[in-house]
Amino acid sequence: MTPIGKLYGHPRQPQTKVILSAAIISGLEIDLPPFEFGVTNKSPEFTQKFPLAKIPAFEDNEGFKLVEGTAIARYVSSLVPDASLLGRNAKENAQIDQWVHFAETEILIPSNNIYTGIVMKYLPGFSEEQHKHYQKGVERSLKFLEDYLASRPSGLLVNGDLTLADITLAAAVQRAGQTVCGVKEREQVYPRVFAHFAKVINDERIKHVFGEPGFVDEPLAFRDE
Amino acid sequence: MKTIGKLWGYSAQRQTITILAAAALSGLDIDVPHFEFGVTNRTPEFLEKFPLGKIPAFEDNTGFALVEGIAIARHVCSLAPEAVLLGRDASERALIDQWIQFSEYEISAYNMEIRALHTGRLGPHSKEMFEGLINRQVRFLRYLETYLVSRSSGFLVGDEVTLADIALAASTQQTGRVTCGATERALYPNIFAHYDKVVSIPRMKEIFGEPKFVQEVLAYQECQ
Repeated sequence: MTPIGKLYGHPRQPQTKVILSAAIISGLEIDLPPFEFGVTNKSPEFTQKFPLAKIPAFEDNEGFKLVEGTAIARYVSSLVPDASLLGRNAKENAQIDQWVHFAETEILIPSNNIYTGIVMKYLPGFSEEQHKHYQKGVERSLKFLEDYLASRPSGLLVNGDLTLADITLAAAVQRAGQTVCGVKEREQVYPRVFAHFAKVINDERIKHVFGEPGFVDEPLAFRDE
Repeated sequence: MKTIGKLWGYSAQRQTITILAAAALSGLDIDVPHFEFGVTNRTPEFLEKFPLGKIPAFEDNTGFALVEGIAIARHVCSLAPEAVLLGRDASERALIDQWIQFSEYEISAYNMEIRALHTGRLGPHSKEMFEGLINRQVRFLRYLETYLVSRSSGFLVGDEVTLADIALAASTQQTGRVTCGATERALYPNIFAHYDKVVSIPRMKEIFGEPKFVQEVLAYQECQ
């Protein structure tokens, strides 16, 4: 099969995982050239194509270029409508949009901020107050999601089949499990959210994309250093 | 004209503006019930439909409910014949998506964070952090400015206004109120010309309201 194009991204980056999963479920192949953060995205070849030097970045075989993870994921998902990653009608499409945005804004970004601030230490001046703010935001969103999933017979977000919303949420929840959700939170406070996560990543087709969860035992504590 | 449904939001909110502008340019009518922040979105009726209590929130005439501003905006656009605001093919659709994401995460998110820091909502913070955020946004503003110079139509994608332009204009309006005072706006003439171009489309001025751009940027201030 001819790959549809090249995806510049890191296999452990949540948005890259979502795009790769969308391609696989759609039965498409996508090239993932070797990527070294800080090297590849600083090379002239890369920055000439993608001046912002951010990943993920996509280029198809005709030179059509795209950035912004969700835009790439949605584009890839749109190439094979039968795979139903974007739903089967306008309302499902809208619901998928809704959940993708929710997962990204309310779960992935705040969890990522904590991850970047504490684990990676890339956020100078990251404070305890900010940590609490993001953590509370994630918790409020997870609770909402937990309640919503109780109403879902399939255990999936929109219909009975895996959609882009489920994949995006799983990537976001993985980050939450690496930062604000320890064993107790995963098993007792948000069991349905993490059952959804397990359902998605245990799909044989995309298991290898998500890899090991890398979950924490206890929620990460703020450390002043 | 029959309305497509109800939108709960408030007129100064970026996402509400985006949705209302999308509806107007799609030739669709949308009901905007009276909304009082902190009151309406705490009523049992609202919370039953929208448990997170967040706005904007949309409900069509069949009871189909949606949240998340951009999902609502995109859905509204899709209801118009030919969905012109969403692009003419898969590539245009993708580029529109890209610029919508860019406007929200690379421009607007910084405006929101900087404003939150400035008002003390995120507690004490260093000047380094505050200015770090401003500088990160500058990188994106410069990129956008350069990109817009290359656009003969003056619009982000294709030759006509799309949802990407509406979303960007709503973010730019915020930018002019937070990180870009008069001096900074002069650094990005094409970004602000794009804003003017979108707002000058019939019916847009009324939806976007007065720009209320600041003279000076919000500056770092130590919190107590």
